[in-house]
Amino acid sequence: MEMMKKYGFPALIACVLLIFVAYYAIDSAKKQKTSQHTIATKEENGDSILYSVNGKNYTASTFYEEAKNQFGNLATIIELQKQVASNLKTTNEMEQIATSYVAQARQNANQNSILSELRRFGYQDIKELKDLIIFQLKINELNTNYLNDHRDDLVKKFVEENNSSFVSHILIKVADVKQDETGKFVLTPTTEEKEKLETVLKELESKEFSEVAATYSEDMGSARQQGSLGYVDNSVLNSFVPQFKDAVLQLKDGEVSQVVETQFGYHIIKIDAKDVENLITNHAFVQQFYEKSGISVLTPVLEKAKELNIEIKDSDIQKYVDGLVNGGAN
Amino acid sequence: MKKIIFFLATLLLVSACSKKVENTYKMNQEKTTILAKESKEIFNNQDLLNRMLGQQTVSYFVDSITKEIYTLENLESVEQEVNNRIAEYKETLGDSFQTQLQSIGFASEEQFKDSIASRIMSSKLTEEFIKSNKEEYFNNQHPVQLQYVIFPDLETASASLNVIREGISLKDSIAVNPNLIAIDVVVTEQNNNLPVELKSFALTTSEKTTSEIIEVAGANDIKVYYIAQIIENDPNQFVDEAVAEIAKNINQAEVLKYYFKKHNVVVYEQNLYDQLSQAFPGVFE
Repeated sequence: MEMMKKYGFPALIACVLLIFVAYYAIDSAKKQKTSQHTIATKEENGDSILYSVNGKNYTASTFYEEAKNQFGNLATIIELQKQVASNLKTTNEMEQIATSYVAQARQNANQNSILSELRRFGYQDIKELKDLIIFQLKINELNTNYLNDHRDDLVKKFVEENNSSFVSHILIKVADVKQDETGKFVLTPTTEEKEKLETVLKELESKEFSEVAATYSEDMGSARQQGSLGYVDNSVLNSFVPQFKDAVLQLKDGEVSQVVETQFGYHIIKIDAKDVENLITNHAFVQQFYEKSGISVLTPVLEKAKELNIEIKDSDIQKYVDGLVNGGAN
Repeated sequence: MKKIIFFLATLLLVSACSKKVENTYKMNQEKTTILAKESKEIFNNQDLLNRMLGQQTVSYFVDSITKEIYTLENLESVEQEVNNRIAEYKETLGDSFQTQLQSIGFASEEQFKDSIASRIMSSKLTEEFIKSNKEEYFNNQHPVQLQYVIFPDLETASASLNVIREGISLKDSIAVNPNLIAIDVVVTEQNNNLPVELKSFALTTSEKTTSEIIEVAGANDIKVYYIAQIIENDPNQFVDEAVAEIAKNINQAEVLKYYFKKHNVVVYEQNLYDQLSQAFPGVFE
């Protein structure tokens, strides 16, 4: 008891000391992984020196003045997005996605690439990767919510004008194709080709379109994507052969076509999404909307920032942001 | 004993707390607000500085350091060359010049000019570097000045070779055939644009001589026929051309390493150091 009194407190302090030493050892080991070499910093009249050439110093102030136009606008927009995102709720789904992404990235991605991506967004440590993913998921959600809010005006108009849809198809090639005098393609399938078409049609009665496409479609590119041709709009439609294009335009959301004959063979086409409410759930559509609609991808975040009373106080940066939003650029 | 332990623990605590700011750089400028929430500052110019430093700044800093080094090397001004190139771009692009600038990420003509100036300076510094180490590069790269003609068929090639053997030059041997042209090149060990057979002739022949007909199988196995003449195999007789050719394939990390050492370039910013080390491996060794 006497010993406890005498050495108890110093022993406690020694434990704390050991914990700090251990923490430092682990931390510096981590640091070795993220940065190959830690360099010394230097200042001149309270200004950080970034580099020097032959003794002439290039300071942080000089960099700020010279490069603000080039790097400052984007950096401020990122911070604005982060501030807005920090006011949005983190859902369980976001947590799960981020956790799974971090696990994958730790195994597969280059740690230096991850670290430089984190630094772009103002994070310093590799363990903040999850925060970065959650931040990006929140911004994605904000962008999707904006589309939901404008479903009946902006989005509906965009979809109608662009003939937006997500399309899949199954192709059964026919080798013997001739064109008659009216320009129509006449297909003369072999027994094998005819049998393959019949098998596909039979399979479609009981199986998912995507599964049948992956197994039987002879358009190897889309077969690898379960038959999906992805997002289709006027610019893509115009590259399709007329019979295929007409079928895509006529089919409704979720419908599967009859057999469509083109110079390539037999197609069976499915519209994966055409109605606005289905299109909005697809991230590829959300991206296309902000790229092509003339509505800047910054619009949702700026609207939310206004709601939260977050303002850009720097007039040059505000002017740049106005230019992006009014010009519809991304 | 207690005091010592307390002192050490406090020291460690203080250094642990200071760890948070180790990657923070600062300016001796008054703080200005960049972003505010409910009129309270949440992001200022010091924060923006550090965020800017976190962007992909390596090209910016390489350009900036290149300009400093170029000045210290006392090389000729690039202004005229920059103006000429801008004039060429304007002539080619016409009214779309400004739009094109913006589409490739330049906010102004001045920024574009700066970028061109850096590229010209960088290429001149590279050439100067090779000239300073020319013995080493000439020994390793064996530059040879070569002239060659591609013939579509064996008969035409044979006719030319017969004339050459009578003492006519390669260029004169094709004078009667306007479809054929003599091409002058500098061949080096690293030159990858020529057929292997032609490169092999250039690099293994020590005399100023003319080749036999060299048969080369091109695309779709269509054969073409080369005749080549070594114009000069001592690179000291065509230094500028040899240096320009070697510069095309040089490892930029070597060039930067040389100038960084020569002009004592020291980097104090961690992100820049990491980005430079990744983009130009070995630059700080």
